[in-house]
Amino acid sequence: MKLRADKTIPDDLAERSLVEEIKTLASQSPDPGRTERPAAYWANLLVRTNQRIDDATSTRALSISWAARVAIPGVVAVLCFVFALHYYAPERPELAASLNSVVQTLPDQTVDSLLVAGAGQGEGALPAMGIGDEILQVSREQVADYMIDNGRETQLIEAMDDQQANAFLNALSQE
Amino acid sequence: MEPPSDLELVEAVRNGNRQAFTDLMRRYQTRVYWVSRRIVGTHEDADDVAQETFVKAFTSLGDFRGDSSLFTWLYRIAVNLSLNVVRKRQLVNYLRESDIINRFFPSGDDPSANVELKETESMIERAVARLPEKQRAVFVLRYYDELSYEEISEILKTSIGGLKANYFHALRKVQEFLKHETSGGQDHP
Repeated sequence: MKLRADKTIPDDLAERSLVEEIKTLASQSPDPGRTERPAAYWANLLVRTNQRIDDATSTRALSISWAARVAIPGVVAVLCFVFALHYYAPERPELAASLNSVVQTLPDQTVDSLLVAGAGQGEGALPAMGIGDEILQVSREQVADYMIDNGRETQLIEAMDDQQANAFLNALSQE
Repeated sequence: MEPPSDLELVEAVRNGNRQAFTDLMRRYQTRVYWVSRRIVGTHEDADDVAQETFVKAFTSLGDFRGDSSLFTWLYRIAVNLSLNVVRKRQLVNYLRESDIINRFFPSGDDPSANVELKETESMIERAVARLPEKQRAVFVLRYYDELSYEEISEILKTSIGGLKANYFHALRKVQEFLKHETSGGQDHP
């Protein structure tokens, strides 16, 4: 810590005595002192100062000042934002992989319900937003097997086209 | 008829009367010039500071609320601008001493070279030029302009106790310098 050599506040008497001594000392030497300026200088100073005020407050000076203080920093900020958005936008390639891994961890029953909801065209379906399309891509055979296992033959038949229905009837007749 | 008060002139300027500001300048330009002249030490710099003080005062007259007198407000602007000049000059002197400027301006035509010592002709001005900036400002405002500590405190935004201590230190340094000079000393203390 830096310590001050003298922290006392001097009294008025000490101050006045020093001032008197300085005045005496200063008067002992050849000292030009305050050199008065000629009256013309003060008149000229007024004119020059007024001119400088005009320059500082002119429209051009104000627009330059506005540009320097507001417009240029604003444009730079916008450009930086656009640049950052373009080059540093977050990419998340790991999203699909992580979704797959999540699906792997789901119980079979949950995965089944998702499959059925997808195949049922939204009947009581879970919202599919944010879920990768690939987990809903199941073959029609898988859907058919599932429906038969769960006793939904009527619904299955209604969903068949003519060709599939004929194939289905043929299979039944062969049994 | 009594001349208009400072506040009346300020109000007139705010209402678009430019002549009122010229009247204010005429009223204070001598004091503003001399306070900055004593701090910066040279006529050229003081002339520039005086003009800049009034430009700044004109452009920020809207900020003047009348809590302090106009004269105190103008002095504050002038002292701050003068101290800026002193700081800038100290930086230039430092760079010159450290030989950086000579590398860029090998011809030695630097116009600001030794300007402080050239123009401070009087002994007391030479003593003031050696004071640190804060002590220099307090010395000028108190010794020459004989302002009260309350006024100086408003101008420099410093406590009165701190001002008194600064002034006393400045007085002692000036006294020592003058004693040394009048006794025929060649070197400053």
